[in-house]
Amino acid sequence: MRSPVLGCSPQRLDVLAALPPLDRLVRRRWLPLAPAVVLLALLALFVTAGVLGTPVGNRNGLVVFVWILWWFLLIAVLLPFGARAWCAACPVPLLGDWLQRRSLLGVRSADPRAGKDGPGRLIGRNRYFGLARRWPRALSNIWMQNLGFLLLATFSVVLLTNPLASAVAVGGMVILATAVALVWRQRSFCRYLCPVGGFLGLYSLASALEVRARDRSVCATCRDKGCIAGNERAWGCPWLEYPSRLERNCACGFCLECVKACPHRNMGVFLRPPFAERRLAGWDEAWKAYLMLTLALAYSVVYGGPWGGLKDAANIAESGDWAAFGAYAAGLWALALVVVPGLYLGAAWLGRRMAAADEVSVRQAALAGAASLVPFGLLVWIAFSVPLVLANGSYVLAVASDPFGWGWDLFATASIPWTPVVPHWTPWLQAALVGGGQAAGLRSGWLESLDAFAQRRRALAGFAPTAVLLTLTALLFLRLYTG
Amino acid sequence: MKPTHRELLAASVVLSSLVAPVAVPLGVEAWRRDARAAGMPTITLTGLMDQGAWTDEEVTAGNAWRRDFRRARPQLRVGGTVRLRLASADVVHSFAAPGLGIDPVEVYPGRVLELTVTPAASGIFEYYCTTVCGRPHFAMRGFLEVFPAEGDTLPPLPERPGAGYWSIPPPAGNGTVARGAWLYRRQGCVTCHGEAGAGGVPNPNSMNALVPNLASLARRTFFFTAADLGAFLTVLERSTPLATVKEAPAVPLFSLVKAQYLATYHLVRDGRRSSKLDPAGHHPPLDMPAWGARLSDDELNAILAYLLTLDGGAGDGASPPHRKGESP
Repeated sequence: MRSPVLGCSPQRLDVLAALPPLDRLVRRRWLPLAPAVVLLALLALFVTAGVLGTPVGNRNGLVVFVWILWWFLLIAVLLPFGARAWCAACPVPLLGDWLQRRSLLGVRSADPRAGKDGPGRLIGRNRYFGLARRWPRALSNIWMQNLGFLLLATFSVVLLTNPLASAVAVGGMVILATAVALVWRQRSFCRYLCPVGGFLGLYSLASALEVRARDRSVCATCRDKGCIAGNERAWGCPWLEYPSRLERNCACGFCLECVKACPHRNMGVFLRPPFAERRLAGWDEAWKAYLMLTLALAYSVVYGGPWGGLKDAANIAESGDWAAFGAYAAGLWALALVVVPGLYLGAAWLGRRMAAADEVSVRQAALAGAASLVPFGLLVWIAFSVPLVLANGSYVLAVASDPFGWGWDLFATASIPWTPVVPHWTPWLQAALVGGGQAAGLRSGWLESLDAFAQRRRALAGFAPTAVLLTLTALLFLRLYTG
Repeated sequence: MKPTHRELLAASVVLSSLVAPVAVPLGVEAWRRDARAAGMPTITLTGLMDQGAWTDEEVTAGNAWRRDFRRARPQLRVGGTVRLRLASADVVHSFAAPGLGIDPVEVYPGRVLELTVTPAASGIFEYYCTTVCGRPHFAMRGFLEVFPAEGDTLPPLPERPGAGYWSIPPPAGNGTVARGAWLYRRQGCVTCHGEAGAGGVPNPNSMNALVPNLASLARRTFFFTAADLGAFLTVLERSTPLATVKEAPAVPLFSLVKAQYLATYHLVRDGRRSSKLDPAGHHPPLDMPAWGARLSDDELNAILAYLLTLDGGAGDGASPPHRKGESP
């Protein structure tokens, strides 16, 4: 008999089965709406601060709470332990969801045979307002997210120092998400356009949480298919996935509509070992891995390095030097889209030659190598983010009392001076994270190479150049972080 | 589908979550502003490094990109207490109005510092930023006008030289003197030392009360003819550092000239804190900055070369004029 606690794998813990109160909670229709509304209120507050508050970045609620606190919590806590749980409560698509569904708590379901019962288009058993078009097949990948994230990253120094720029970026994302929701169906924005969603999807592979079917044989005989078609209890998967066949975290937004919809209570949330998922699906995901690694490196150099000229070049809002910014941007894009991918592709090509594995395509070898960049990339991003929050965390307390910089002191913390926390430990912490990332990356890459090359000896030869490159990259990070 | 009560409630909550975070803070701030104004007149001054000004306009993240904020010209009444709210939109500034008893206070970016002032006498009082906050720092000055009573008038505000000095273009030629003249303006020396080194800018409670005149620098460096000065400038251009030059036959009294020149050079390079006239009084708001941290040796020499050429007396042997309050 299958254990009610242990799910389909002995290595996974069925969280909802282990915690019945949580199981009852996630089936409520006000989840994840309630946290999303709270976050929407905070978003509105911070965007207001970004326009009407002080222009000083480190004293403005938008910059401090979004780029310091939220970013750190997202990359270092939510993502490793909660996969894309952020996406469930993200306030950015909330208004678009509301417009599409014309309901916040209810489900607009209908029996397709009953004909039209109101405005909107019927998809499965749910009726949606708006054009509800299918997302173009040619763009059904994360290339747009890759380019969107790179574009935002190019202006990251501006976003970090200029609250108005951040307000425009964040507010623009809400407007874009809402507009996209009126034209394309369900969470097309989150899945194919959201710049943050792209990297959340990639690194959620390394996460310790997943939503999966408990028993696929139940799904095979299920006639309701409410998880994809929707029913009277829930909307069909907003992420356009077939939840019963989920094998990867990438496109699961953790909204848990499938858990609510399943008449057999066959969908569960599972705790699993970290870095359990390794497979990358295509070039778009591989490039995302290269891109994220490059940006972690570039940010570490620009923000953490002693090269003031580089920082000035990146900060076009203050320097006004478009020639220097153009050179910086061109260098960053070339590095992220050509140089670093070229190095890792070259390593994969060389490994394939060394393994004499003609039957393994360059694509297979490259994707196996890029798999190593998922845990490594996640941990170097955390390593980059740790000093941000340790050094600047005291701003959070000060700005909590005066989010607009208007001279308020709500919690008597406005006068707390800038106080870096354990600055002498930071390099050690970063070194440990980089070392851990390298070890996890080598393990993931090795296991994927074993799958790709089939034999240990050939896998060893095939992965060796990528492993050397990864190690050199880790040493470069160590050099940057520890001097 | 007819909306249920729960649905309507949820819609209200979502709409409130959009409106309340905008309306509530704005309402609270408007109420605080009214409460402040009801207590006593309040003047908010925000330091803007890029513009080299303190402004009394509201500076927010949404309008900080502007470069045309009005330079503050606060007007007070004798005996009337006013609350000054000091803020900075960019970097750390320091605000001082010695004539009104406001000693330098540091103003940190994004924070508001409040102080009260009750003018005891009427007049025009200069206010300053006393922390070198950026290139336009030396323009961060203005005037507080204190009127004796309603309807009274005060003399016109004095002109201060060097407006917009930080953005003047470099000279077309490469001559040392022309470059020095440009640097003299470009670095803001002109804002304290005046056009053509004329000096005369007040520096309250300093020994001389005014910033020194530099127009007689050539005579003070023992140049009495244009030919002597020309010969020295040739040596200066060809032989840097000057300290290593042992002799220059074309320059009379070379060792004396050299010692005097180097003393001036070191003063410009290393700066000097102004001495107080009244030891118990406030520190004078204007100190000589240490330019060696920002300018190269060549640039320092170019500025001094320009200053040396200001002395008309070096050309014809005439005595340079002495100005009131300056040390000869």
